[in-house]
Amino acid sequence: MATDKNIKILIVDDSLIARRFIRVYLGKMQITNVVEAPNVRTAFKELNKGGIDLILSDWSMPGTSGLAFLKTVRNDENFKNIPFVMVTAEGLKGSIAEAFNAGVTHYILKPYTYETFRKEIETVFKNERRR
Amino acid sequence: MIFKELAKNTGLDEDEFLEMVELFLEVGSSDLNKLQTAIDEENVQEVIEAAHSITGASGNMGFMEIFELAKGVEVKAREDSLDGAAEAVKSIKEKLDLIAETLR
Repeated sequence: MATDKNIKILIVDDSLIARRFIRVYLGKMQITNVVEAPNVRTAFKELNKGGIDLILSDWSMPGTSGLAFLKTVRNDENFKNIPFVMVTAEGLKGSIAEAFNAGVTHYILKPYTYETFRKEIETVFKNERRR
Repeated sequence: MIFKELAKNTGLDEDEFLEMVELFLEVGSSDLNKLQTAIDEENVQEVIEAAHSITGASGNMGFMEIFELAKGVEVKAREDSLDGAAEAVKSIKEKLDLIAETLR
């Protein structure tokens, strides 16, 4: 995964506020190549356009959940290697384990501050560089 | 001013945060109406979705009283109970009104 400031990030969250916060936080990290999707259907449209380097997805969304989205991405030849970060309030141990079993790259628990968010995203970049 | 402290917590500039408060009030009122309707219709799934939306947004903003109220409704609804949901909606509405007044 490219980890410079030009990486393209897809934010998937049904909440406009949550998407806006992530966009602003990424902006503070000088990451501005960001696209948004309010649901999984739109997320796939964005993925199909190409060039997505990292997915940040909510778990609990009306319609297809973030977990189902993750599983579909991991089973798709074109997208299976894209790092997938779950940004969610689903903090139950069982849920976290389920996401990791499904191949999630990293997990960020809501609610979070900018500092927490920044550290978590930097951890993702660091881990990806090691791969 | 209370927003200054909250803005600091979220890591946003005060202006950025105030814009977000306006957005939150808009989305929050709409979600709260959805929640009220869902409660009236005893539609548990929609109660969960509307309450979850409020939980997420208020958590982002750092409006923790609203977060706790909405979370309470969401958790109970997931257990198929709407006990206390109507009261929680009333309290959330009061808090949204207070935020709107403070913003003016």
